[in-house]
Amino acid sequence: MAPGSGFRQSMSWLHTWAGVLLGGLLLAVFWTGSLSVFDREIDRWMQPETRLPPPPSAFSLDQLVLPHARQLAQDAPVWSISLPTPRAPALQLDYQLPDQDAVRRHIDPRTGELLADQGTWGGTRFIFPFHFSLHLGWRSIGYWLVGVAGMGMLVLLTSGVVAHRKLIAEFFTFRPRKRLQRKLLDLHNLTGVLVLPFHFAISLSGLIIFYSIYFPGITQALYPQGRAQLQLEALGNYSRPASGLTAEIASLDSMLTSAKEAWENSGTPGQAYFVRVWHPGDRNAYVEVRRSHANEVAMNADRLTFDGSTGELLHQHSAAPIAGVQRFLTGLHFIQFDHWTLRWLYFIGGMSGCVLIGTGLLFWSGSRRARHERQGRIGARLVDALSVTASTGLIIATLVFFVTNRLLPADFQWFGQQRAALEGWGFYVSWLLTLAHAASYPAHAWRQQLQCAAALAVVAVALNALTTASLAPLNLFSGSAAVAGMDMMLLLLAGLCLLASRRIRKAQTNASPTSQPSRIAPPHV
Amino acid sequence: MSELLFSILAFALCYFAFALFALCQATHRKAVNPLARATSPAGQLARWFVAVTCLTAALVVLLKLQGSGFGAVLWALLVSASAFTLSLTLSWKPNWLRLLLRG
Repeated sequence: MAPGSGFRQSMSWLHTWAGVLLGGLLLAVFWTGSLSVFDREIDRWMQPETRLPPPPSAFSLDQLVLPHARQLAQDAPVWSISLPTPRAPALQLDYQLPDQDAVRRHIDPRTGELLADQGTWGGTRFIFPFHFSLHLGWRSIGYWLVGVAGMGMLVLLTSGVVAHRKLIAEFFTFRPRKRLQRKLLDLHNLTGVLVLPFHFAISLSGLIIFYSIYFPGITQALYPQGRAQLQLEALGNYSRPASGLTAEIASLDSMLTSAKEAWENSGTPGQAYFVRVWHPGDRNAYVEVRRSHANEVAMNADRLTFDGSTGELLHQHSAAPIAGVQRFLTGLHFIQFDHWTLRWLYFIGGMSGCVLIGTGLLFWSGSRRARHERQGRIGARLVDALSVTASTGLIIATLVFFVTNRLLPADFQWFGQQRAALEGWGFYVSWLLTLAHAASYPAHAWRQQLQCAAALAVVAVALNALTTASLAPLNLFSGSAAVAGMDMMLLLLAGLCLLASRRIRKAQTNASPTSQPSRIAPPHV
Repeated sequence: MSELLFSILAFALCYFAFALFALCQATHRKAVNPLARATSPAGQLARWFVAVTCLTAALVVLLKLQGSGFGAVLWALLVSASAFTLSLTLSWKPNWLRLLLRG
């Protein structure tokens, strides 16, 4: 199909083919992005020992963390502590020993007890990085693919608005009692137009976050002396080499107190949320303390650097106006602030993005299926299979990830792979299997995969109850709202999948074997 | 808790505003009441004025109580959420809006 002659026709053509080519990838990015809104809650569910009561308001890093850091991360060139929050109530110690994988351990902020290795990447280290990198690290190819998808989403949103013939007349229109194709198009238009500001802002801010990957020339041109200068000017990343001389680390608690005072004096009062120690045990050690962004949209770049052995302030940084704009857009996307209404609205907005993309793909294949079958072409069948894989297949893969976590013990190993890696393998293998299933059984793929997803969601809740002795409704009253919420969302997902599966079966039963192709002309041809 | 209450208030204002916008369109007026008469130009203008006022009021309430950052983001998302909820009301329970057809 060639692009039309007029502007609107050209935009329709662009909308159609950009959507078909990028739809599957966009679905994966939007689904994992929506889940990442609750990544810490997913962590609590997958890491039962970290389901702690809210942290105390005062605690000592010197007493609780330093002994563990000295023991575990003695040879690490850098280690960091994330301070506890109501969403993540355990102290989090991250380090990477030479020639080994990154390690994350949790410490109880009430007792200083080092919790057992949780043996999982959870939401923060599997689902969230998948959202922006697809876990494809080679030459940052995953970042580039997600960047192409993000750019494509902006093109799709813009071209979709231009191609929409009745934007105002059908602004609120959804006709659920009409034919399937009509319903799909209405829902596609509705989510595309009414949630446009969110989809546009989230796609644009996603691109801006990784500007230095997508537009490396800018930083190379402005900072010919290297990225370190950019990191220092934009983000306050102070650095100096290790001296090779040993020295004890100064009090971290004193540094946190000094940081609080410094921020108050500079008119931006706040608490620290993150501490990173560079060259620990060295005379040239330095400690980076970052200010929390729990109470603002922007992910501020306010950070102080202290001398690791004397506690003296070495560098104080706050974002300059232009960097501040980038930090605002970054915060808008990363949603690291404490605002539950916004958190839920982001989740719903993300899910509406999945509906937007999914209905677009279904409409495309639905309007061509009969014609392509007649002509012996595989286009519609291919897009159908990809749609199933990118929607129900991805849901199944995510649920297999959760079920594997609750099924295998934390210290389980298989063929030299730890449980965390096996959870990841479970995700990818099951996703691949859903593709094979969708390609092999196109007539029943949607229904069967929805049923499979419903069963897996119920199994995940049951396994959580069995392995952690926690029941969804009871958790809500015992203070573990994150776990209760996760269980309830899984049960809701199971219900929705069963409902959709029943409706598909009903529609298939009622469909006449001689049914005619859709009477609605595809608008983007 | 107050965060949630004011968010609900802002949502209600936005929903009301979009209901008034929708009821300026003949298709939606017929969906709400098949016997509804076409709205007069003055009535249409009045509906637009009240709707814009409600959207502005929601923005002002959120900016005042949540600050410029949270307030603006929350307003943008509530506008989408309320417009979407309204379209679902028009699809399944249009008679809920019958009261707004008067005047």
